[in-house]
Amino acid sequence: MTLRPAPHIHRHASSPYIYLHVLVALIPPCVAAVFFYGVRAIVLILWSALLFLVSDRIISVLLYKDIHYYDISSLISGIMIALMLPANISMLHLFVGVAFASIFVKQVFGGAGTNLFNPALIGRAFIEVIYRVRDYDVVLPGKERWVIQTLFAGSSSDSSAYAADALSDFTEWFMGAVPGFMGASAVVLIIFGGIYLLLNGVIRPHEPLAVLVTFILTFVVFSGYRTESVGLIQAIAESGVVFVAVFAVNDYATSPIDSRFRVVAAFLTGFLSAVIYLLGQPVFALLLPVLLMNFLTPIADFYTRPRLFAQDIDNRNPKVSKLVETHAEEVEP
Amino acid sequence: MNRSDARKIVLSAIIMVSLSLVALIGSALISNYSRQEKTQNYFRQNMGHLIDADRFEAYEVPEAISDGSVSDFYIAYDMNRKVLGYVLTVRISTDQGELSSRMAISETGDRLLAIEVLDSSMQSLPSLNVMDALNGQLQGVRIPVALQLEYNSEELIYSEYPSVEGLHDGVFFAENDDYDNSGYKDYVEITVKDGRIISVNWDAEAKDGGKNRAQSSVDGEYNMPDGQQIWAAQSYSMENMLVKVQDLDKLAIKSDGYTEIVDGVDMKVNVFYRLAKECIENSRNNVIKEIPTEGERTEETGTEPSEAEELPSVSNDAEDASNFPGDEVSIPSDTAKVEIDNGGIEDGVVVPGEVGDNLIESVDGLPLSEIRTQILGVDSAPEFSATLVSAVNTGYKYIRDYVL
Amino acid sequence: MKKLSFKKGWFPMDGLAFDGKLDFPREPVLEVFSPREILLPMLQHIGEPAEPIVKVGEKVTVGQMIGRSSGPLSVPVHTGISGTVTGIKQYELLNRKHCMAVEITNDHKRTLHTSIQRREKPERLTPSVISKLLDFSGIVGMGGEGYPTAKKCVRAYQEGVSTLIVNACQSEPYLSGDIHLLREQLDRVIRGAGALSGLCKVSNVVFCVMDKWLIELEALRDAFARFQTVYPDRKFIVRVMRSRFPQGYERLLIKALYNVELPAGRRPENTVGAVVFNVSTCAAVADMVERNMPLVQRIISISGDTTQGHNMLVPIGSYADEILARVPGAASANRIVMGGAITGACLTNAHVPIIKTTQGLALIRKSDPPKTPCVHCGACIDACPVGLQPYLCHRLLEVGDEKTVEELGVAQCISCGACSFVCPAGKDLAFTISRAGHRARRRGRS
Repeated sequence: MTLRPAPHIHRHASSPYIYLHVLVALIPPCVAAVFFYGVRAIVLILWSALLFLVSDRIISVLLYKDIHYYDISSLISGIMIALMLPANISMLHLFVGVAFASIFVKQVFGGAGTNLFNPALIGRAFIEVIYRVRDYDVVLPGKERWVIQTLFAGSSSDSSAYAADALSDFTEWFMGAVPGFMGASAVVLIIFGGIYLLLNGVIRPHEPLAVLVTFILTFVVFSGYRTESVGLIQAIAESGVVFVAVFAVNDYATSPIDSRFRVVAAFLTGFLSAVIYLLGQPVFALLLPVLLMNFLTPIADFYTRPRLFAQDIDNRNPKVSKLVETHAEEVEP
Repeated sequence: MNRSDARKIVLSAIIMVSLSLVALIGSALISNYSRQEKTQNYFRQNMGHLIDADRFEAYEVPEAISDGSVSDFYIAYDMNRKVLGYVLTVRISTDQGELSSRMAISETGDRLLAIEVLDSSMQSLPSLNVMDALNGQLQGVRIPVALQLEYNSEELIYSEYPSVEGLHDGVFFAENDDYDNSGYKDYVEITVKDGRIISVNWDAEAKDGGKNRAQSSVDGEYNMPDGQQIWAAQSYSMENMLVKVQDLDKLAIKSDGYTEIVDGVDMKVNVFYRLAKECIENSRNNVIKEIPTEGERTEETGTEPSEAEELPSVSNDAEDASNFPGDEVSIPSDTAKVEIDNGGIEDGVVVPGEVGDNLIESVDGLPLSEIRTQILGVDSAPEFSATLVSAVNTGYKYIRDYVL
Repeated sequence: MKKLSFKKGWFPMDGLAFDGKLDFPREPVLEVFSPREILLPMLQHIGEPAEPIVKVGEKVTVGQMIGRSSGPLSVPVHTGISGTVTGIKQYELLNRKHCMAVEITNDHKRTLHTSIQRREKPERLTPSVISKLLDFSGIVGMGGEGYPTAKKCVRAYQEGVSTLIVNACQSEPYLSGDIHLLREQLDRVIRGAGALSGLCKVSNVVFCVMDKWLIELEALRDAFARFQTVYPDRKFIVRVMRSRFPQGYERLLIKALYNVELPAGRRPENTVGAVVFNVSTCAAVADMVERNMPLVQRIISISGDTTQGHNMLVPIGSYADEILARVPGAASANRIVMGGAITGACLTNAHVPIIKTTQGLALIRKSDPPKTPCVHCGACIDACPVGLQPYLCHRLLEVGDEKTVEELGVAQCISCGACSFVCPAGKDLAFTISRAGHRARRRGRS
């Protein structure tokens, strides 16, 4: 006989199970990355994920003696970093970013669940800051995507890289078939993942919708101020805002714990993302708004508190008779 | 987490993979991802009226990256993958503003097929009539082109740099005493005419009697550090600049051997300084050293084009290119004939005084001997005409220097 | 019809814990269960324990009084079987209280006590007679509250309430005794509610039903129409609540009906003028009023992940292990829980009698989710119906900061267990926080 305090049944979602769902939701953008960038994308994604897992494991065992808990969220962060990078990143750069994210963003703050910032986004931003990743140099490898040499030599130049922006049509932008992030711009496939998460109850629809709606509105309103005209579809794909909306805004550890303020933060994220994108910084449109919201999260958590039941109620003067009368009128069957 | 949960996760992962693949392949079929095809359509749409080609291929000349005036360069092919010509976008900055034009040049590099003005920020933008007139004048002519205008053409060239006093005419030569570490011996030749330096040649001969340094660098055997242009391009810039400013001291070569004045020159040029100084001293003293004639040293002046067959060529048929520059060119000015007859080291040098007053000794850095056509230009828009002609010549030089 | 509810909580359909089994069984209640022996603790209610009035060896019959009320907040205890008293002993209840308990061995004859007779025209009874009958019947709040119904009626009458609320919102998943009563013995429930309303002198009788039981609405309306002639001065009303856990809690019911939030320790009688009775309580009152049958048996729901859920009518005092012996799949359970699967208490030993407030037995095989670090998902905040921050309270209690936790309002905790139910990290939030809530309320009273 087991003795355990009540309740004796639980919702069918433990943390590892939720993280597994997120991993499954990350599969479609990974498939897109592999489809477009080939063997190089597979190697980079696996390298990043395993590196993050191993680094987290070593540090958590060393620092916290946390031997029994295998944190699947490490894999998620690792895959997210890889998906937000262009395919011409070297494995050494990836190593630096992942190690920084794992050690200084996640484990130093206490490990899984207590990190202040989203480790994936910080790791990506770190790589951007110290190496200046130039995603416009990336070329879709085309037929060479399964050639193993491109992993080391980089894909060969292709005349189709020229004027790619002007030529990419609706389908290509939405599928991520344009040079840029490996997976973070595959809008349709990220939405597949988002729908999967919604169906499994891992995320709520409020935050992603808030981000997207705000992004689109802000973009439509302010796009007149930009000299070169950019289509809305291109903006959505290029800024990676869908990736943020599905995988970053709902991040449990780093978003406000109160669901109302999570939506507020999502609105701000969408707005800032559009503004930064219009200022001409697609990579920072992806990273900065969420990190800023992460920064505000502890403050929001400190100052927001759900309304306590029967708080601020004057119990000495309950308006009994009136209430009963209205009730009687209301409930006539 | 039990077995059924694990089964559910694996099942949904499989479903996600197959869904994604279906979506990706489906969209690939819809849009066909036929980037090549679409690119060609786009190119044909933009450049088809200049040259009626089946295919355009963007081509990036690595040595020419620093040459900012040519922004795009395409090679036009016909159905049988035969080169039809080249399309360039040239941006020329003048005091009046910027002019961006796109032109098609024949595959031999000496005929302008068509030209159009993409956009211009010039202050005095001419009317459409002027553009048509200019286009009409330029259409199909042989290049390079000079403008036959009645203004003081001296102002067009570097008249603001006075020539150094006391130079004697002649060809002066100086070389290093010994071979350097890389096995080359530098030498500099300076040609002075009427007290002006009109041509400079800086090169180095190999110890083993092989190719000269300029040729080696063009062939990729003599490499400069990353980010620098090849040696031939840098030495060419130095030579040009000396011809331009006349005075060696104005090149501001610092004590560490570098210069900041000359664009595109990042290497140490103290050897050049020393040898050029020696040449100028020789000229002052009228000491004509014997030029070594052994070996395959080319006796070209720096402002002249290199031998065409030795330059890198993207053209399939090098025979065509090797004819360039042609011998039997028709130049309206009889001056040119004189110069051609001169041949040798003085080829391409226009002796002032022998030509008409409205002609100049060099156009856009090209010697008049190379000028194949003179157009009248449009009197009402002299700056615009000059700029357009300059754009054409820039395109010509680009193809001559980097492509053929 | 407008559906009422409170804020937050969770919908049981969100996560059917027993592998997607239906929330309540469709089969009728298994009628007769005749145990070999029963044990009747004298303390099955709030207040003082009853005094045993039988001797060892004495023959007892169904409905005979075993324990006598010993004070103002005490109710008598009756036997639900006929047989012989085989022992009177000290017994420790699950809540660590001690009382006397009477053990009776069944003779399986079900001999009725002589006082149990069908009464003619029970609706004509005067309030004073009903009050005396209730005093005798030993009926307590059967929703788990255990407050003597007779005392509650007296208090409601003194407060002058105008509404009687029949609470049919058994919101805890897999507890379905109330809906079986409504479906199969609706007349009995309405008669009991009628008697109680006459006793409390109220004119409105409000039935609160959950929307997962909407199929019962038509039957309820028909029955109301029939009973309008019997009780002409009463107004029978039905209100529909959302099927949301923990809707059945009194304070949340009042919140849903009146939009009034009762602070901890306040009763609805003197706040909104309403008195709340459970459906089972009403049915028991009807038994007493019509047949003189005191509270001797009740419906319990047997649920769990090893068994198909069903309901049983068992004599009060039956041993849980004897009941479970008849339940297929009970042997493979790792945990036997007395009460519902959410709020019930784990039994170390199933040899425990069913008492008046026991709503069911749950058989759990599944182990709890693995313990992982808190990921700050906020699910507990979205689930807590009284607006606590369980993750924060839990962390503060882990470091022993009881004072801050009290400032965060832990005294409002209603021990519903919603926070632990939704927690993906497997934290025992409900356990620590409800204990802290008890301590805080005790400190507040003293």
